Amino acid sequence: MRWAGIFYLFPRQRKLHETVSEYLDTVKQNREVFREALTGYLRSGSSNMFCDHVAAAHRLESKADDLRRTIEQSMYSNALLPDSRGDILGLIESYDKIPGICERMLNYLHVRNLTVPTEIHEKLLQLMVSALDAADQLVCGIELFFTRPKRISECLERVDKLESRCDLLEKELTIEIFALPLDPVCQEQLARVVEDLSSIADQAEDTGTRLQIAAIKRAM
Amino acid sequence: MISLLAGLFLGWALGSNDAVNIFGTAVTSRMLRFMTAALLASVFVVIGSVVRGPTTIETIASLSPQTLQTAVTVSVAAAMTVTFMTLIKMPISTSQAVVGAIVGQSVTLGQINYSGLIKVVICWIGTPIGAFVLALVIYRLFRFIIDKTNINVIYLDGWMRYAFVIAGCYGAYALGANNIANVVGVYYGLDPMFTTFNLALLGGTSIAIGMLTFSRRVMATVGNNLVEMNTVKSLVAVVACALTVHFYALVGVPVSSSQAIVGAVLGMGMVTRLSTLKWRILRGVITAWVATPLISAVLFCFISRYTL
Repeated sequence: MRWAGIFYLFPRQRKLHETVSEYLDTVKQNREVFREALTGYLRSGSSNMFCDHVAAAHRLESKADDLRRTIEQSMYSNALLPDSRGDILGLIESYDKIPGICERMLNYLHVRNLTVPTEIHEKLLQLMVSALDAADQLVCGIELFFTRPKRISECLERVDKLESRCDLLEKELTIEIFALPLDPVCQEQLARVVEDLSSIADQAEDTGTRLQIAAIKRAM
Repeated sequence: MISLLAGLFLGWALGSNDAVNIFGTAVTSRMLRFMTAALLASVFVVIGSVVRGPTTIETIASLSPQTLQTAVTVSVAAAMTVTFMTLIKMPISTSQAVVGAIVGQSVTLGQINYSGLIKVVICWIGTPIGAFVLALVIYRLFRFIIDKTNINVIYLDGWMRYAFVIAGCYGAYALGANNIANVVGVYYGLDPMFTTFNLALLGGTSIAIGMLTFSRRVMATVGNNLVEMNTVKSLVAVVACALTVHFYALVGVPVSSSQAIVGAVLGMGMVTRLSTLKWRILRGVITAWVATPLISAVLFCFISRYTL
């Protein structure tokens, strides 16, 4: 980074920047673990590898929580970014719900040892990919917020489209699940999994709305 | 020397009230600690007074010939006006209070330099207008730089803190350079010890003491801003105010930093939206600008009946 050297003038700001970067990386890792875990679960059920992934997701979610608290404490104790502090912390708090959803979903599958019918595997994977892509686009928007707030609209439009696709897939999946000859309890559990998966994109959209407002305020 | 006490008290009042125009936002948003801001402002106000103050001191001294008694009376009338306006929580202009008292002196005793007075009044009108225009220009420049460099908002915070320190020091320097005349200008030449250097040093020190001892309380009541401003806009207002006041210091005319900051803040209001302007507060500010010299003139006329 060209200007990296000069930022040693700002030790508190540099520390905050590093913590925010580490937080975003941690949540991204959480999503990657979730992707591998769910893909592996659909392939082989509740295997040892899946259990490892569940533990890893929990560790990453806890680490993200700790980093979020560190960011909050750092901003308030050092009185950093008085204009944007509330917006940034609100953004992080909203975004932080996504790793929580991922961890909750994996625990749900792990505890109930749910059997997912092969008929819905493909569509479920499509839903997972779209939901996680929405979260990735959101991160793109968050990173742009810090440097080029006027450019975040492009990312948020993609989040919006992906969220709409997830809504459609959720509906189709739910119809398919209740059309399958399954135990009603099992159907409800599967519908819950689909709903949770789609809620990742919903949360990304909600956070995107906050991001949009924060960016408008920053540009004023 | 004792006769100078009235002027030094005026200096103390000026320091305690005008520090908010320089460092108020930085301190209340906790970007700077109060003591850091107050110490820096104190040092630079004395430097400004001593380095550039003599020109404005001579301008005030030329408005009307003074004796020790009239000088003390002018200072007391101005100080009482400043104190009264502060007590009723109206914004004050020490320049207007002093010049108002001098006008009161001319009404009572005659002999005023009208061309000098007209020059001062024209500069008073130019102060908020100039600050307004400067603020708009500086804001556009800042925004251009921020947008072009795509600086991370986290590091922008760091730059802003340094910028507030530099702007505050410059603002204090400009305040000392310009407003020292209000504090001690009327005493110039009345005693062999009252040289421009000695007066500037003593007056500057009294302003510094005012900043150190009482300005924190005034800063704590900042919240009656005319316009809601973010950090960048606050910095722009401070810079525009400092540049305007310094300009008039170079011209040799004491002007009001309070008027300059109001002009600059209005400029920032234009950038956001005029509907965010607190019109009630603006009306109070304009009323104070008219009332201050009048009250000071009347007070001089009243006090002089007992002192002259």
